[in-house]
Amino acid sequence: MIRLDRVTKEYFGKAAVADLTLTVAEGEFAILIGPSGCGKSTTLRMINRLIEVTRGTIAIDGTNVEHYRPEELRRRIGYAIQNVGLFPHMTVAQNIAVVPKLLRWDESRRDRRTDELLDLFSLDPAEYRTKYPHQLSGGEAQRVGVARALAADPAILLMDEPFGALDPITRESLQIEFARIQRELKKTIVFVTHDIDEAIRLANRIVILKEGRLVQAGTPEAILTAPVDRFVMEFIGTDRALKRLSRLSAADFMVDAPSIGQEMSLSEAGSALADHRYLWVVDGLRRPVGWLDGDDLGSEAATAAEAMTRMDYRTEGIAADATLREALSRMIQGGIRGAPVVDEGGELLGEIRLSDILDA
Amino acid sequence: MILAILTGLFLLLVFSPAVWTGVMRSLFPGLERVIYSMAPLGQLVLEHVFLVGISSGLAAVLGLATGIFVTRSWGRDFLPAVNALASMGQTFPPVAVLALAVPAVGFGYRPTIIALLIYGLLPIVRNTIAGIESLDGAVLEAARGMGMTPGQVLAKVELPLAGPVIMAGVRISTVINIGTATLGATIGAGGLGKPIIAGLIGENPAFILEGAILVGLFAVIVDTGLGLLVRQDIAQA
Ligand SMILES: Nc1ncnc2c1ncn2[C@@H]1O[C@H](COP(=O)(O)OP(=O)(O)O)[C@@H](O)[C@H]1O
Ligand SMILES: [Mg+2]
Repeated sequence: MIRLDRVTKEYFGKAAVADLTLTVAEGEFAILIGPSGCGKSTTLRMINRLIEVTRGTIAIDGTNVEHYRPEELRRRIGYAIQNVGLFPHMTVAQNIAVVPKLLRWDESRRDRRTDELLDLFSLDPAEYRTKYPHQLSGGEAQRVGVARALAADPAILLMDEPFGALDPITRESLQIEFARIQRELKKTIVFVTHDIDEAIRLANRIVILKEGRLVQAGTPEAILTAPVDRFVMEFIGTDRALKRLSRLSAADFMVDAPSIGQEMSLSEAGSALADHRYLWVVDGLRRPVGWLDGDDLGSEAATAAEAMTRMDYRTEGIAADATLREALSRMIQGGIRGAPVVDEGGELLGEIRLSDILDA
Repeated sequence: MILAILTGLFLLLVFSPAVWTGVMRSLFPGLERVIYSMAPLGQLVLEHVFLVGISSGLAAVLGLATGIFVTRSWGRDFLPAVNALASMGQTFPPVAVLALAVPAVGFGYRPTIIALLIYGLLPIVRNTIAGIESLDGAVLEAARGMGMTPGQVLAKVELPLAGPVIMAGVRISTVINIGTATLGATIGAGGLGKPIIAGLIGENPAFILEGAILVGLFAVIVDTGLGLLVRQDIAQA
C-alpha cells in the first residue's frame, strides 16, 4: 500500500504538486492522468525518491520512504519510463538482470528469472536473450523495459507513460498484454498517462490531476458516470457511454452458444432448431464455419454444412479478450445481432448478443 | 598486421641506422654525415617514451578525474569554468608553456613533462565531458530509478558508454604529445627531438629528416595501437 499524505513539491516557490493526499491499495492499478505539466511525473518520482518532497509524507506499507536509503528503496520498486532507457551496451538478458544483480542474486537464479520474464512478455528467450537494444523494435524494447522493472518481483511498479512513444497499434497490443500480466501478477501499480482511453482500459482507479492538485479520484465507471466538474467532463470527452464499453470484455457478456456439427443431417438440425432462433455450425475442431436458421431448412441440402450461411471464424469471430466496444462496433458494421466468441485456435466458446450489450 | 610492419620498420631504423645511409646519401649528396650519431637512437627512443609515457599517463588519470568531477551533481558548478579553460588552453602554444615551466622547475625532463601534461590534459578532459554529457537521459534515469548508487551509475553505465569517446581523447592527447615532446630536446630533456635540434643548429637536413621520420613512425604506431584497443573494447561491449 502506498500512502501520500498532504504531499507538496515546490520548484522555486512554485508548486508542481500541491497538498496531494492519495492512497493506492495493495494490488490496485492506479492511473494518474491530467494535462501536460500537471505534476504526474513529479508525483511518481517522489514515491521512489528520484525527487524529494518539499512537504508532506509518503509511506509504503506504513513506513515512511525517507526511512530507507534511496537506492535500497528503488531496488524494491519497479520503474519503467516512456523512453525505456535500456542500457545499449548490455544484452536484453543483462538489462533485465540489472536489479537482481544489484540484489546479489546468484547467476542461475538470475538466468531463470530472465527467461521467465521473456516468456511472460511473449519474447522467445532463446532468440531475445542475447540481442542488443538497438536490434529491438519499439514495442519489443518497451516489453523488455517493463520486464526489467519486474525483474526482482517488486510488489510496487511505477510506470511513467510506458506506452506513450509507441504507435497506436503496438500501444494497444501492449496494453492488452499488460492487462493480462497484471491480472496474473496483481502488483500495486501507479501508472502515469495523458491518454484517457488507456486509463479507462487499464485502471482500477483513476486519479485526475490539474495544476498539481487532485480533481477527482475513483473507479473508471465512477468517473465516467459522475464527473465532478466541467474540467473532468471535458477531459474524458463526449463519448462517455462508448468509453465505458471498453472497460468490459466480450467474455463478460458471453452466453452459451447453441451449436451443431457440420455433418449433421438437415432433418436432425431442424429438430435442434426448434428451441433456438439459429444454430452455429462448427467443424471437427469446434470452429464456427457458418450458421443455420429457419429459412435454411427448406433447402434440398442433406447436411447442415450444405444448407448453412457460411462465415469465416478468423474474421467474424470475436476474441474472448476483445473489449465490448470492439465487439459492438464489429456487430454494427456487420449488421448482425449476435456474434460467436472464439479462443485463439478459433474454437467456439460462446456468443454475444447485441440485445444484451444494449441493455448494459 | 599494419601495426607489426610499422613496428618492425621502426625498430630496424633505430637499431641499424646503417640501412638507410644509402638513401640519405642519395638525398643529401653534399653532406658529410647523414646519420645522427651523437647518442644511440635506442636511448633517444627510451627517453621519448619516458617523457610521453609519464606525461600522457598522468594526463589520462587527471583528465578523466576532472571530466568525471565536473559532470557530477556536486561538481557541476565548475563545468563552465573547466570548459572555458580547456578550449583556451588548446590555443596556448606548447613552446610558451615550456618557456614558462623552465624558470619554475629548471632545465631537463621536468619542465617538459609538466608542459606535456598540461597540454595533453585538454583533449582528455574535453572528451570525457563530451562523452558523459552526450549520454541518453532516459538511460541515466533508468539506472538511478532501478537503484544504482551514483558510483554504480558511473562505473556500470556512464564510463562504459562514454568509453570510446574518452579513449579517442586519450589517443589524440598521446599523439600530440609524441610530436610536442621533440621540443623537450631544446631544454635538455633528450628524446627524438635531439637529432632534429642538432640538424637545425648544424644545418644538417638529414638529421632533421631522420628525427622527424622516427617521431612520425612512433606516433603512427601508438595511434594505431590505441585504436585497436578501443575497437576491442567496443567489440566486447
Ligand atoms: N526540475 C524542475 N525545475 C523546475 N520546475 C520543474 C522541474 N520539474 C518539473 N517542473 C515543473 O513542475 C510541473 C510538473 O511537472 P511534471 O510532473 O513533469 O508534469 P507532467 O504531469 O507532465 O508529468 C511543470 O510545470 C514543470 O514545469
Ligand atoms: Mg511527465
